[in-house]
Amino acid sequence: MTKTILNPLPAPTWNRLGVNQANISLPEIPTQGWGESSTRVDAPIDSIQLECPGFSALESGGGADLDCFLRENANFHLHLAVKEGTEGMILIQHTLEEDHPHAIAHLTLRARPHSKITVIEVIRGGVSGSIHGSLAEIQAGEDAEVTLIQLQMLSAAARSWSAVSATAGENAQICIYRAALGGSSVLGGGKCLLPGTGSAFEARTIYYGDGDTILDFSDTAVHTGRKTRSEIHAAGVLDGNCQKTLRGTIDFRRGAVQGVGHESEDVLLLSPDVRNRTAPLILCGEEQVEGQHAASIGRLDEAMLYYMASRGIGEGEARRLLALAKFAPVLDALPPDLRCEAESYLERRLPS
Amino acid sequence: MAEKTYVEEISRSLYDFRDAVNADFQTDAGLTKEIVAHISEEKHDPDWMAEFRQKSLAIYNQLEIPRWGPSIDGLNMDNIVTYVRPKTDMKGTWEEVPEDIKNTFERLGIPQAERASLAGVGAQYDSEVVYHNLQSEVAAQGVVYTDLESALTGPYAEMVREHFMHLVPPTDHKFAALHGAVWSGGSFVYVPPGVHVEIPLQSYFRLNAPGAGQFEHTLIIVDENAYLHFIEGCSAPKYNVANLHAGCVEIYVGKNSRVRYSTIENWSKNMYNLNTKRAVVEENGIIEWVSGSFGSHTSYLYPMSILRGDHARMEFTGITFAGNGQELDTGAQVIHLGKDTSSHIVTKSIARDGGVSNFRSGVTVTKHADNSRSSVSCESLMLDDRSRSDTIPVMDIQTDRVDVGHEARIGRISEESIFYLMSRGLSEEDAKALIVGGFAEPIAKELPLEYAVEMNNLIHLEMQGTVG
Repeated sequence: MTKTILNPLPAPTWNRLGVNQANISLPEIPTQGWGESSTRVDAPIDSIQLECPGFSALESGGGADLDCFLRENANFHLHLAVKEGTEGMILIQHTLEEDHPHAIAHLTLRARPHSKITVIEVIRGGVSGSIHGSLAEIQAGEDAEVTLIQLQMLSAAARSWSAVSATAGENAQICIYRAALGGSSVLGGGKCLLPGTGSAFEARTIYYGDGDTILDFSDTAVHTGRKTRSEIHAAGVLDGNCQKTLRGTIDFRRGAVQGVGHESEDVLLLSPDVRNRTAPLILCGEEQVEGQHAASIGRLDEAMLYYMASRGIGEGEARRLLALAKFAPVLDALPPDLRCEAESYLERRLPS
Repeated sequence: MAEKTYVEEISRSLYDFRDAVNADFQTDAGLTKEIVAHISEEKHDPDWMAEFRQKSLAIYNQLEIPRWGPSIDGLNMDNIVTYVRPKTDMKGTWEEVPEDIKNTFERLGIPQAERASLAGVGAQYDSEVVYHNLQSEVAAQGVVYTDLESALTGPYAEMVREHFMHLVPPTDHKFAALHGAVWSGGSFVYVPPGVHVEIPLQSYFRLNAPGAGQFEHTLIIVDENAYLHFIEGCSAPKYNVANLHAGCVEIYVGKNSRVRYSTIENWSKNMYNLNTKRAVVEENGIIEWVSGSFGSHTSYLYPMSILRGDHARMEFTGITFAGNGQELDTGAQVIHLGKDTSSHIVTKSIARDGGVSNFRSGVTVTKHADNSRSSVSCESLMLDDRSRSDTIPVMDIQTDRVDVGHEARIGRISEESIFYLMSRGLSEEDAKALIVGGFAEPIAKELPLEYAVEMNNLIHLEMQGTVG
């Protein structure tokens, strides 16, 4: 069997560092097939049309092998177009349970000019052998705004692979919020092409890993148009023997005049046995750009703990509060009910 | 319409002069068992070294060319002459060095620098060291500074054997294996316990022969509580064929010792510079790398520091300047093994006139390196839209008791800065020159004065026109 490459680093480096590609393989196809998913869709607006597939998208951040796998094995399909000048929200909920342990979704979304759409994908449950997969292919037309929020709250019995590819037209804005809070093996790869003048991409990832969890993320912004912007930010908490790899790439192609890109990561390490790998790349073939990245990796700030203790907050509670604060950038984007659910989920999972 | 910033080509006349090739002996081009055996024979290798070379060659033939860096497709080992011996043996005074070779080093200012500010000098011409000298006062302290071939069979033979290519084994990568097979020349330095070599030592490497390779090996052992500043310089005339430099530097920094290793790399633009540098640092030891990369067609250069002892420290300060036809892939690597170790990497890179200047780093903090700290900062300046500059840093953290920070910035000369300086009475050209000079200044100040001047000469920029 040919070795598949997932989450490839756009500019490879020393193999010994283990970041050139994910250390996660594709799942085996069950002998009885994937079966049906138990996915529910709520789309309470009439501005959304069903569209035929055949959507031509670029490769996702997960790489061609992952895209191909998800496309070919999807057991849930949703192909949508949002009418020009309209707004709406779609809620997609996958629950992995005994009768429906697999949900592999293929979503295509075309946001026509001046439309605004939010897609929330919630993934819950998980029994032994559960698989979640998601391929989202997005095209945002002129002045369109697309927000994709993926809230994954799986049990440790489940594994998850998700890929996003997006293209932003003139002044379009695409936001990908990824909350990877559960699962034993989690891979997420996003890529956004910014050919439209003034287009923007925002990717925010939060993650929590404990036990023997393996987390692997890769997000890339490809600036080709003028005055394009990208913001790629990640924050998370690692505990137990968790291994996490994050690749963030801002790729300024020639012609991306006045492009601006920022990326950052803030990692809180709670165990001496975690392994955290970070590869924040800036690739630059254009002179008139501004690119920055920053990373901060370490334990809780002792000074902050001391301050909180001086305000009457015990050390354990202070640690929980500071850990929870890492997740705010994505949880804040959720509707109140989902935010409460996510916070409760985290409260249960974070060490006391 | 505004005219684009124009940056002139660096004048290389100081370095770009050729001597007639007048070799005493040279191997055929290519790399075979027979050629490697011939080098062993010519160099009177001890048996273990002859065997080591052949093993290295076997490893070379097994390993693949790295797939992650700049292209080295233009390098064909079948065309590279791996050993060229000049018509002289090593001398201890410049008067004894043959006139043509001496003139070369005179033009490069090496004897003058030795008189003015160095405690010892080694000068290599093609594959062999032609001059080596150490001030008698320094030698009297027990400091050893000699060519590596002499050390192989002299009183330090055992020490050399224990340390040679132990930090950079031939299995490390293809060009380390190549080095193990055909190395020639280079220096051996030993600083005894408690000795501070107050004035720097310098080795200068000159490659004159077209189509040749230079594979010098520098082995530095600094014992406990000692200090050394070692300076490395290199240059070559430009030819229309590819030349290859695959040198190797191994530095052992003893407990409580400090070593500063400064390099001004100015190879010609037909050179493939695939150099490997590595240091291991014991308890409370410090390694400081100061690196200026200006020459070469293609460079792979990332000094690695292994912080083995508790409280060991590493500092890397580097600048890379890539112009037309150059792809310089430079940076640093550090592995934290000991507790309370720290590393600090600061780099600047400039790309202009279609040049490619990449920064690459790897910071690894291993499981037992509790309370380690690491900071990486890289800044890149793009001077036109035909150039390229990539930043590829990686951090691999295997414990929670760390403090790791990283920042990078990429951009061009800000129009606001130029405007401000012009509002204070500077011409636009002067404003740009001042900004570029200021960009490189943190690196220049880490160099001894005369080398800072050389670096400033190398990045001498002439600006004209207005901001595009």
